[in-house]
Amino acid sequence: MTRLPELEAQLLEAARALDGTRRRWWRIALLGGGTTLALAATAVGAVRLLLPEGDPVPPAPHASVPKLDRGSTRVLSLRAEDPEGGPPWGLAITRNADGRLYCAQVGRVQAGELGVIGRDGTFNDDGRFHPLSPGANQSGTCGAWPPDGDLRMSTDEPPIPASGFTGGFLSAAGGCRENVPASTIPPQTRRKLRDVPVCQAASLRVVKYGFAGRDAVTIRYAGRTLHADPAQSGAYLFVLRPRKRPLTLTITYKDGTVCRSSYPSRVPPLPCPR
Amino acid sequence: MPTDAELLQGDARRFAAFYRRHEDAVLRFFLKRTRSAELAADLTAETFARALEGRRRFDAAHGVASAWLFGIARNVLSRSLERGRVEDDVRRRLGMQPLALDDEALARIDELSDARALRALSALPADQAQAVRGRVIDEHDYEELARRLECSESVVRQRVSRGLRALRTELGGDR
Repeated sequence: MTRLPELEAQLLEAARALDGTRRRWWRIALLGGGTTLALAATAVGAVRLLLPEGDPVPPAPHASVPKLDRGSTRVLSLRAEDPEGGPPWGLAITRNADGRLYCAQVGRVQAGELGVIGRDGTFNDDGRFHPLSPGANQSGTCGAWPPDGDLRMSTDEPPIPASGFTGGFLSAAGGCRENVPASTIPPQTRRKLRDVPVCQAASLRVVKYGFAGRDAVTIRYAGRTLHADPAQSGAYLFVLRPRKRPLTLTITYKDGTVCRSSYPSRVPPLPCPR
Repeated sequence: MPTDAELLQGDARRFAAFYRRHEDAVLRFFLKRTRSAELAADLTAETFARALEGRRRFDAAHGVASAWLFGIARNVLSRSLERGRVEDDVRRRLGMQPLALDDEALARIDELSDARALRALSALPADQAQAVRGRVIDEHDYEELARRLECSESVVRQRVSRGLRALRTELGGDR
């Protein structure tokens, strides 16, 4: 172990990012003229020990996900701490083969790589860090790549396990399922789910992420405010334990425009500018 | 075992190996000069960030990698002293976050310091301590030191010599 493992991990991540910036589309669309990758995100916490690495997460075939260009995956420098600690959460995007579409993927990050922790039924709870194979998008959150590279995306999804695994719990990676009363599940499905553990309430996370666009100034969610980085198309990522009341996302733009959305819907939405 | 030059020309994991190989030496370098584990960590982070950014420019024909690295370290230190704050330009450019140091990390850095020797140095008469510090820790040559201390080179040599002799006596005669 080094004396400053956090510095070693940051250097490794920065070195990977430097190697990754060679791809032309990424430089043009998200970095601009030598703009910094830094994003005013959650500060890095105490010294973090690296988890041992396990097998990569197998790709999940999704009918709704286009064929992705495996080499185009880029992990943004944006990070969000998990309420329990451990590797932070991050956000990656991958473009499809012809570059017209892109998909976003969240997960836990270690040494600059997006992946999944073996817990919550995933990878037999081995406690290891399992990198997501390049292009192995599990969430299916995709959008059209705008000609000017200014991304806009908003997601509203149910809580996911702290493992960071967003794929199906019947996949080879395993996972846990929602705690749904057995009486509401058809007998055939119930048999399939017999060996699938139920997600513990304490392990669930609301993971709110998206892109507010280059003109966004601040993004506020569940009482937390993030200062948007135009170089990353106003990417945002919030991770918190589930709350009983609906949570509202509020984005403020340079020209003073404010847009707002709530999930589950509570306040009337204010549409975001395009 | 790969050479430093090979590590610098390699991928991200190889640069991490370069960091591990030189971490102690760079931390010790800054610890001696600042006597603060926090400052040493901060300066070390900026030094390696610069080394990372400039690693492809390293040319083994012009010298060994450790000399190149300590050249960066000296530059980071002098610019930080000039500005009155630790340089962080390159870390910001690379998207690196400020280090959060807990007590354990600070203790691991402090292990590198020779606290006894530093205490003995502080106990020397001021003129000798200044001369020894300038020559041994800050690595100024005698001409530079004479200018800084506003005395002749022979006086500086005498102060350094006497100071080192006193330190050897104090620390057991083996240093």
